[in-house]
Amino acid sequence: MTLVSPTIEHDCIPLSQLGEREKAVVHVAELDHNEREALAAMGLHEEATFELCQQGQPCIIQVEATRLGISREVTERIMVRRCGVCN
Amino acid sequence: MSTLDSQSSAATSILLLGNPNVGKTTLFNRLCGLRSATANFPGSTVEARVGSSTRGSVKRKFTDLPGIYSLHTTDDLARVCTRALDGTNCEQPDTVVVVADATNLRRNLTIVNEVLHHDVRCVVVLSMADIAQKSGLTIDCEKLGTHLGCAVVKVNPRSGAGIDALHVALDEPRKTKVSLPEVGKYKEVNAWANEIIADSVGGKLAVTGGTLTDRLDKVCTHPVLGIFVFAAVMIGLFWTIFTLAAVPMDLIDSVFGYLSSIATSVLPDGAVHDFIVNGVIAGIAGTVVFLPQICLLFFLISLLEDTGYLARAAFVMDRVLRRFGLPGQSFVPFLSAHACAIPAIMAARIVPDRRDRLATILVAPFFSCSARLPVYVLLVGVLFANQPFFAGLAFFGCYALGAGAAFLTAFIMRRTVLPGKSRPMVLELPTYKLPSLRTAILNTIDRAWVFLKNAGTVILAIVVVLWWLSAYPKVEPTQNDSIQATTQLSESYAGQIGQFVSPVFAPLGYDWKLTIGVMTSFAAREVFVSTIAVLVAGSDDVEDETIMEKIEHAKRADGSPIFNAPTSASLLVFFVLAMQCLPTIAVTRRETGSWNWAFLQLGYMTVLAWVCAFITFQVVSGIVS
Repeated sequence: MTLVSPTIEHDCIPLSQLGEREKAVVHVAELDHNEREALAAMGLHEEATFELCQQGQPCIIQVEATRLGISREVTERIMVRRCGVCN
Repeated sequence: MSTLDSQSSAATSILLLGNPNVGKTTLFNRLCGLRSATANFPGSTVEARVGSSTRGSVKRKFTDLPGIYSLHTTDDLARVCTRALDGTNCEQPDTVVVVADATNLRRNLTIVNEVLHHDVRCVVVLSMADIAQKSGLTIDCEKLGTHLGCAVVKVNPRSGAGIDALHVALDEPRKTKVSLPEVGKYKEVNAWANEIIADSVGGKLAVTGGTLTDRLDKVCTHPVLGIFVFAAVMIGLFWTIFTLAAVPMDLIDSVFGYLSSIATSVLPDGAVHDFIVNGVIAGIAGTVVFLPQICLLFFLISLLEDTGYLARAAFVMDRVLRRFGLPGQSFVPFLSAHACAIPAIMAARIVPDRRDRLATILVAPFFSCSARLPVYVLLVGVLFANQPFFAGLAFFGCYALGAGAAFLTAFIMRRTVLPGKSRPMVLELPTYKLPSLRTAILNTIDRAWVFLKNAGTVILAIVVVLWWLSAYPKVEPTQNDSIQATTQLSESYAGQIGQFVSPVFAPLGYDWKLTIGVMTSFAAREVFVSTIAVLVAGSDDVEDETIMEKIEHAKRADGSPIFNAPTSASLLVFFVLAMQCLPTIAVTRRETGSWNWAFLQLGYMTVLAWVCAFITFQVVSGIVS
């Protein structure tokens, strides 16, 4: 089951389009429940702030002290707001 | 705030729980050392290590559960950990030690919160507190403990600092009622964690970009450079394994040879002598001889895992494997499969998704294991005698054919019996660090023990049954040992079965002798070489060059050579692709929980091997005629 938020804001972009060293906040993950739960348990839940270390396959992000490698297939479905925009 | 009952008794049955990569297993090794064993958690294939530690008059049993991020995800690991906490189908623990990374407290408090919701006493161990301190964090364990309602101690699992404090906390574990956020409500849990951190933790962890880890990741996960690094690491790994393992393998071979000669000199000729020498000793030797390779492989994998590189390698391989419906994590089992399919199938437990794991198990035996090597040596030697370049090329071709068949099979499986794409990878990438030798050695001992237990039970039983089939019924003794050995094998139950089955293998160019070789090698592939030596040369000593020549020049009943080019090539292809290993079938059944998958694997590999061997025979026959 894919859950798509009905309120994706216009200033949100997929994580796969974020630039390196940019900081962003997770807005919504268009993933199924299990995938979202797994990501949230690893620290990447909605409203979590992170920094993009490396774009590509894998996309590497830093959420506080946690460094996560994420497949492009997943990063294309995580909508984020750049910190400059959301703040 | 109230204190729960039964607080005063010392903890004796303790679960170790925590996120992956927090030093939980290192702490377990520090507490229990060699006093531990790996066992499947009841009713599952998830492994847990159980060990004991005695301090004064108190003996404590520790169970090291797999690393998880949350008890409330839907995967097998979370389910097993929850059952362990609740004592479902297992002993009820009296205390849980949650190992939390002090440098990553906010995330780790999520699982602490989940454990505190269970009716069990708790001690929180802060690992990596030294790194946190160096990074500018000061953690007040007393205040943290007050917020959590349980003891909090700093322990360095690598050096052992703080172990005494942990034992003191376990002497009188406490649990006081505190207000906790609802599990699964991440905003609430975060607010709760922030409040605790604000009160108990001073300073701010400096997490900056441009670190050594960043720079190494640029190389190790790069689409092109990453493959070169991966190739270099793998070549180094296999070179080390095959170079270093040769000496202990020869030693093991000599020891069993010595045991065999002692048994021969002590025991009178007869059934007991045959059973001990040709059944038990030969059976155990045939398996245990691979122990050095397996130990080295697990030692090096453990070192690599500890450095943090394996997680990056999984992403490098993910690009290749996903095209065939396999996840990047499958590369670790495939790596193990080059030593032996049995530990490879067991290593598939690291693949989180069930369908991905089944696909990995089904194709792992295609990768060329050590047991195939003697067969490759024999057949490549026959095919390309005095042509080292082509012999080397043929050897490489065998490995490539096995890997190609594995990927093709995975591709087919993911579109038929295991439909669906492999789960996209999300992995924590631990920072690069120097590996712990102690952890690698203890892991290797643990893995070696599991392999030996397997060799001493399932594998030995299978080998003994096949020995019996090839040794009975006994024929009348003759003056000529060579003739007697040939007659014995051809008239044994295995020989009779081989002759009965030989029409099936005739289209591949095999006569009844080769068919017996193929049949007996179902016990273990390398048995093929000694069987053929006995059948065509009348001796099981193939190291003698004249025996090799006899094998090369052996004739069929019609006078044509047994090992002509089409037959040898066909046999080579058959041995690359066929299952030919009953112990692997037993392990597949155990790991998948069903005979259906084991028989599917056996049937598929056998049919594929037969068809490809048939095509090879026809093609090579056409070329040479």
